[in-house]
Amino acid sequence: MHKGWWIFGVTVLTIIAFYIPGQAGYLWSPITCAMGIVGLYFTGLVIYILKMGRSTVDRDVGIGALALLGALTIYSGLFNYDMAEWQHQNLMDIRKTIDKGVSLAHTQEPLLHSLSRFHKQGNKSDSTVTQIFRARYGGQIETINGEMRFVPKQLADVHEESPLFFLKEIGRDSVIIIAQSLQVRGRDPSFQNYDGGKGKMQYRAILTEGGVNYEREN
Amino acid sequence: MKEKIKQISALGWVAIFLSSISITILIPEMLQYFEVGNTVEPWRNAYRVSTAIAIEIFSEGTPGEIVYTKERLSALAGIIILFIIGPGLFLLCGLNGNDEPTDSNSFIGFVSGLIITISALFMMSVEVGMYTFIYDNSKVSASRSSKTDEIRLNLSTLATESYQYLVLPEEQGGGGGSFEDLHIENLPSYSELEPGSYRFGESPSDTLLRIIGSDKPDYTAGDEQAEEVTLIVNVQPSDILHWKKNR
Repeated sequence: MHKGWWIFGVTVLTIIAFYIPGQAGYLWSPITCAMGIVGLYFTGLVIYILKMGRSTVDRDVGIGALALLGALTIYSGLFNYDMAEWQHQNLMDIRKTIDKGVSLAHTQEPLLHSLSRFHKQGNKSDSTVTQIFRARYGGQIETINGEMRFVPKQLADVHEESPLFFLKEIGRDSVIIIAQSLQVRGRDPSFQNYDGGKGKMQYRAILTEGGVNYEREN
Repeated sequence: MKEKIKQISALGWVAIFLSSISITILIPEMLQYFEVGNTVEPWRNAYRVSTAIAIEIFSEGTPGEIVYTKERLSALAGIIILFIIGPGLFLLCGLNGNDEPTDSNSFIGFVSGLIITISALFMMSVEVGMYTFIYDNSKVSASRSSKTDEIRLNLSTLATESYQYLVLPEEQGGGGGSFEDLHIENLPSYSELEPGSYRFGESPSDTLLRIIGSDKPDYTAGDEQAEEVTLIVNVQPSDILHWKKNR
């Protein structure tokens, strides 16, 4: 068969293999499938070299070039995959730290300041801790889609972004704020989040006269 | 093939190598100039798509069903040109049994294949060499940044717990306006932290608390002592978190 037809045939097979895993998203599977065909093609070329090569130079140069190209390609694939995985993990760690930090800062600060003011009243407590919270931070409470949300003034421009703060309860004796990440996975994938979603990181902060209890729910 | 190799003069070899280097450099430049991609190296395109998806997950939570057409076509073109056409022409034309100098079609095919194969080898070598270096530096930098974030977060937690101790009256387990009897070991989150990495510093008064966090990044490039990250936060009645130093 003419050499052009070999190259054309392998090209068609490679294109088919490339599109088998799908046409969107990650490229690792399409390239791996296509490289599988290339691997078979290289094997065929090695057989061809062994059959048609008329000198050791033919065999050494031909097989050497294919082996070097194959080795560099495998190394490059593994290296790039490792780098991509590391980068993905690194970005998720950054996101996790950001969401943890923002959750902590924007729940603890208002609640601790309210607690501080409450205890500064001493024995003649005119206001409850929740009244103090409401008086100072009431302007940052909004009702969005039927949910009471706490929107810290520093986040007023980005309050639809992660993490979200829900005011679960503002009763006579306690204030409960839920901070929920929209991106970071929590410990339990089946955990029911406050916004109705599942498995995302969530913290709960409860303010009472006895202090602020801040704990990770998921 | 041996005969065809012999037919190439010294000047011819120089031209072949220069052509290969030019292709290695020019292809990415041309792809970027015409805005149709960045590289034909297949795995590099896979990495670029992974990065785009990782950023999407970072900001949106889940990846969308994006095709990434430029990267997809660049990767496919790279596989076909660098791994099929190049080695195919080089070996099939080089070994086709007719080493006569008059067989010009076969000779042109052989030289074209040789140039593409050398370009492919250059591309993969540069890729592996250059990005190994970049990857290592990125890891060092990211590790330091990640450790700084971790220490800042842990100090924030310790600071809020200390502030709560400060504002609570003594009968409720607090310090009644003073840090005097507070020990870092008594803070709830301390037991979950790296032993020895966090401590209280010297403080001029019992209403000012200085907390110091210091630790090595998980991935360092040399002198680990010099790489240590140290942050200091002050806690006082008017201020839960007052950052002092970032080294």
